Amino acid sequence: MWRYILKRLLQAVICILGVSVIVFVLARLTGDPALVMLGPGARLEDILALRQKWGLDLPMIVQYWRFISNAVHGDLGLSLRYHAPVMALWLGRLPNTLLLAGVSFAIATVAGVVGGVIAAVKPGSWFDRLGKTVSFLGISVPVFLTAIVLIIIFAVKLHWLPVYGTGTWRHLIMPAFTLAWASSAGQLRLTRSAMLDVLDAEYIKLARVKGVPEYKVIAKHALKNALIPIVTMAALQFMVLFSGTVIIEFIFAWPGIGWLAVEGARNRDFPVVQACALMTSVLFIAINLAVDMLYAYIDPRIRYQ
Amino acid sequence: MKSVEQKISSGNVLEVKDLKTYFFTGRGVVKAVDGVSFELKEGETLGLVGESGCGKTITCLSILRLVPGPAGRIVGGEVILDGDDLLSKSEKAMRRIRGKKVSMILQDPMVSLNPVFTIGNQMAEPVRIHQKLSRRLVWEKVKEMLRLMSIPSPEIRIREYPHQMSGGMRQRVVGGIALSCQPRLLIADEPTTSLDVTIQAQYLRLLKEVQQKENLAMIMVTHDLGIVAKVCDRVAVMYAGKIVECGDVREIFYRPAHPYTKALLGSLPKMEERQEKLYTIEGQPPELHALPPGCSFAPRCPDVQEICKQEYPPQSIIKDGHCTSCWLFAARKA
Ligand SMILES: Nc1ncnc2c1ncn2[C@@H]1O[C@H](COP(=O)(O)OP(=O)(O)OP(=O)(O)O)[C@@H](O)[C@H]1O
Ligand SMILES: [Mg+2]
Repeated sequence: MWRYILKRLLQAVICILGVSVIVFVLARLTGDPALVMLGPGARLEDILALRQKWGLDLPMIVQYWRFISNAVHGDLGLSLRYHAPVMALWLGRLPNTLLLAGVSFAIATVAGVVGGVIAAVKPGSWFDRLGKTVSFLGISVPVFLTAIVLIIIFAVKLHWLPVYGTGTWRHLIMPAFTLAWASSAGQLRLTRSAMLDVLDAEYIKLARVKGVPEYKVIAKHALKNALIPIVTMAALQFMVLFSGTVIIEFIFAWPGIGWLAVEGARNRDFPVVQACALMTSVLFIAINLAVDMLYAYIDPRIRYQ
Repeated sequence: MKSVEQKISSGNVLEVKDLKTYFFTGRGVVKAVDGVSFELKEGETLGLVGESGCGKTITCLSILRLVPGPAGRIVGGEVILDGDDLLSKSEKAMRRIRGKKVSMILQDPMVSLNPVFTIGNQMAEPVRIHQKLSRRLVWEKVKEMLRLMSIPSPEIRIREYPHQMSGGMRQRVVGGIALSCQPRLLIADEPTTSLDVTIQAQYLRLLKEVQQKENLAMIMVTHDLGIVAKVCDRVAVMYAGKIVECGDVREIFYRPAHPYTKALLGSLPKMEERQEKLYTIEGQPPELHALPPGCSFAPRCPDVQEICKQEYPPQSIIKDGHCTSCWLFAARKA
């Protein structure tokens, strides 16, 4: 068990280091920040002075070392535009994104798992067919289209919901629903097929032979066995959803990380882009680590490896 | 009152009458169980034998009303347990019977334990469901069952998971689960096929011991006639969804009537002969969704007659308790 945890932790650290290298290199490939900052009419001395100030004249390896050791201390540099620490900017926006992603994720997961289980218990029923149609649409319709259609119907025509912005739960409905629909579809399909597999197993028959009530056969014996693919899918969906917030936040003017990243890219504010990429990756790696721990909790065969 | 008297007078734990279980599939109706009848007394062991796919497992599952749906359905007959017809019971009433009055050991014990729950948890389940016992007594009962099945150090075993146990151990656990609520009837569906021979013999001895102690009625499904000879009192030979011959073990082994039974016995390798060739039955068992009219064994039968291909033979009694369905023994119709 401890070996398993230690191994996963080590893998996570290596992963973060790898990501930091990629982010560092990519940020430097987009052009000389000093040039960008000062504009086309800048004088050479100014450019050189700025480069020296930011350490851009040092060898790459030294620059990377500075970057990573600062990052470990929570310092990812200053935003070129806001002249504020980007870490603070990122953390300031994080709650908004977490709220949007969290609510969408909760809706998507509950709807996907419950719907998938019901569909698997009665394959071929009207519910199963409805679920199939709804999830097919959810997967194939792009989120921006859903968003625009929703805005037109519920905000522009009916005036039931605000078009964009944040503040009340009513602001949350359309963006959360848009994201949830797209990601519940995958969870529904996966849960259905995982449950169908498990329900065929001999141990399910044995549970019935023992006289276990049907709801318990499904909720205890079958669901726990289907949980590994379900949890994997949930984690994957959370990450897809988190990335999806980039578009949704932009459409609904939701002041989260996604929007911060888009603004950063448009303003060529490279420390902001760099921080968003790095921190989001760290978040994803942390989620993966948590999922690995969850596997061990669910399945004793992993725990006793 | 009358029904109570009947219960006592018949003395049968189980009576299966003209049971029919069909699968309604895209390729047609599969008559997996097609008019099966037999009875079983207290303490008696019935061997149910026949080639793969002849409907043994489905017969057993039909008794418990656990035929795999939605394609499979019991379409007719009666299953009478201690005088009560199980086929007319509600699903809720059936749940109180499963695991309590009737238990079953499934065909593949290696995969019939749930990998994500402890042995203790899975053994305690039927006890908790069917007996009103305190937590402590439930665990006592579980340990008692493990001891009954000769599993060493039960205190440690109850906290283990199936993958930590050997096949033989797992099989004993499954046996323990089946016996934990003092059933009237135990159905063992090829309980030893996935075990090696020594463990197989041990396990059968164990089952037999418990059966005699508790005076259980038992159905032993197998295609191993060696096992039948060791543990069964009576044998029912099944072919293509029907019982073609039924009788005492001795009768069946020494005076088999039906050509299929003879063929089955002939395919059994004998110890005294040098095993130069392994007997097999010519031909394939028929496809159950497209059975020929008449006797299903006719295409493979060495003693086939014209009438065999036209009409299914009626049951003839050869001796008390020894019946067969074969035209060789039926009074020929004019
Ligand atoms: N779910 C199902 N759908 C359709 N047909 C089925 C289904 N389950 C079983 N059958 C049919 O019922 C017949 C009897 O199956 P059963 O499992 O009872 O055979 P068996 O005698 O137990 O064989 P084995 O010795 O291989 O266990 C088979 O021929 C099979 O084709
Ligand atoms: Mg079988």
